[in-house]
Amino acid sequence: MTLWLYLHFKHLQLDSLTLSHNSTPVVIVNGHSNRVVQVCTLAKQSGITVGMGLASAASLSEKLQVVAYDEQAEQARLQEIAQWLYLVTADISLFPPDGILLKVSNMLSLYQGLTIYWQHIQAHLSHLDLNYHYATGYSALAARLLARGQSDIITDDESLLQSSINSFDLLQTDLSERTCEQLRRVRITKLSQLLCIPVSELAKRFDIELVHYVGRLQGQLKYPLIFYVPEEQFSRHLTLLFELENLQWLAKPMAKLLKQLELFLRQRNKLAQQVLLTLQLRDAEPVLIQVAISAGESRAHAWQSLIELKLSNISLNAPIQAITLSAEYLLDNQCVNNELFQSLQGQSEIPALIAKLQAKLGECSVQGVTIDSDHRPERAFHFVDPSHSFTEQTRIKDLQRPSMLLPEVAPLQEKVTIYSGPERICTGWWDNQAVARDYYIARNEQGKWLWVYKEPSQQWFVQGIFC
Amino acid sequence: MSKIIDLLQHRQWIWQGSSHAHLSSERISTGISLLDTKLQGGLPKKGMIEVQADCGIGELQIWLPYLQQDNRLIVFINPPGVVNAHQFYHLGFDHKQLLFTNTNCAIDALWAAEQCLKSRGCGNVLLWHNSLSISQAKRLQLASEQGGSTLFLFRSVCEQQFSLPVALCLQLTAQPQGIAVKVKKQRGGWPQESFILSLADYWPQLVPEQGEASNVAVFPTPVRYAK
Repeated sequence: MTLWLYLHFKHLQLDSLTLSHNSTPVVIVNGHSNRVVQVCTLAKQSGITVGMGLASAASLSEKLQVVAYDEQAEQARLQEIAQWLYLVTADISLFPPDGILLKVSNMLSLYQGLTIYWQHIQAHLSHLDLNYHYATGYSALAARLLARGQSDIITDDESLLQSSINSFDLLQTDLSERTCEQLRRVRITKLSQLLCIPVSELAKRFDIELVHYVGRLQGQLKYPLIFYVPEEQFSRHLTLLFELENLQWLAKPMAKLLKQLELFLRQRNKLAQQVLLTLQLRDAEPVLIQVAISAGESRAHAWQSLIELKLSNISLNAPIQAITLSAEYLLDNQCVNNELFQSLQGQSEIPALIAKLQAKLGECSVQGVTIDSDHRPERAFHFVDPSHSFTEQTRIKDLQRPSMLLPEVAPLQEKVTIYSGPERICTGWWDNQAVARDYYIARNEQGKWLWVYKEPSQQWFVQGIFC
Repeated sequence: MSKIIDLLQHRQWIWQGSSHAHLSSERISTGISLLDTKLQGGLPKKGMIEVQADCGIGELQIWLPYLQQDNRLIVFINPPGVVNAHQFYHLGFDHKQLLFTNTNCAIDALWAAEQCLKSRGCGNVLLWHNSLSISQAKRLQLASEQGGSTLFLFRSVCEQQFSLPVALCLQLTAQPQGIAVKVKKQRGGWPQESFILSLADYWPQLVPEQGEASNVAVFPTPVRYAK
């Protein structure tokens, strides 16, 4: 028989709330029923329990902070947990909104025993800082029942598991209230009583739902499961507990997401080239912040400093309610073998420097260059993104060229002395941008070195300055 | 008495010869022998070099042999025109070695300069900036010492300006024979009277063919281009 492990996250949404607040009690309240569904330790101390109405909860603690229950957020969090667990165990099935089922049997040959397997799972889950109950079972439903009943039992002893199941009350199972009521009328209130009855007898007297349940609970019928498949892209959403108006306060929650990104990338041996941060604002269009490091980066603090630079240029017109972080363009992390004694430290810092400058000044203000094989000075090169690759050109020696070109060619309007020249450039007849120019190096009366040319029409122009 | 000295030291209003004795006096040749002898062997290895000159007299040209020795990144911040990368490439600079930044405001330019100076991948920063306060200059000087890089600050000549806390301050003026160089301030040395770098020293290609060019061929007429 297959052994299963079920993890029941008692207050998943509560655990996922970011801003740690040791001072205020927090409860999660279901908006429809107006009842408390999740309670933090502090709130529990003041007497608030699950199932209590909002009014009575509020009367027990004056500082009580109330958060609405969000099933979608909880499911998304469950996905994240599954993704995290996938690193240590193979078959994972989600039981929304608050449960995860692991198939243990397949993993035992890897971990050499249930205890070691469980230690691994526990150590792995401890990174997420969650509260949960757990149990093993020889069917998915048995494990679920035990975990939800807070048994916290890890064993492969069949008789022990069976006896723990037997002690459960029918109301604690997944059976509908109507079925429980039917069973109560025939004086069946404990699971042990129900399991004594052969399935064929049950099928005669009760509906198919009960038969399926009992069969699946005992592992005689197969429970349909969909196993988790990990996603390829990183995307995380975080709802802030408070609305933020100051961008500097965003650093903490952002760091939390970036840490997750770092782990995600490191475990896949990948680097992200681009990170997209979306700020969801109250009653306003979300703000998108995009930062890029062309060489790829996985470390959280590198991204953090870039995003903070970008944020310093932004002003908000509404408070932030939630943030989403996603990474795009993942690269394989290819380690370069550096020489041991020759320091290449400096070279590796350049992409980070470029990324930093681009984040603060804007991408078009920081440029590299590529050289084109053209003799026309204004077409001999053009500015590109610094990460642009480039083919080598043959270098011409002893070229006399100015270090600065004027943005626009200007007519020569002063008296100059010619020092060198002419150098004739006569080209471009193939693309209708023909030039025929004689270039000279000249100096004006203030001692400024100019690069001037004469056209066939005998007009003189200044094109560059020898700075 | 000592209180006053403490105050002066704290405010950095006093210069002590002893405190600078341990400073690295490593020099890098400028590639121009006359300049090297006047500057005690060349430019300081790191720090800020202030070049006061009018634009276009060759104030960048004379540093090109020096820049060619270093294969680290060169960053141009707010140059006065479009930097002719074509020339730099054919002089032997790698295209990856050149980075160009134009900023809208002066504060951003200083920020960019500081970031570049601090990064160990960056060797030389060329900054065109006219109004720099003493505290800003000090900050840039510290950044360049931290990153082991050199900052060339190009600014126009103005006698009334404060002297900035820089490693070297030069004033260049155009002369018919070349450039007059005046060492206004140098760390670990005395200011120098102005001397003249002739064209033969730094731009020998221009010397022999001085005067009006007489070997110009007339453009062939009529000139027709394919339309």
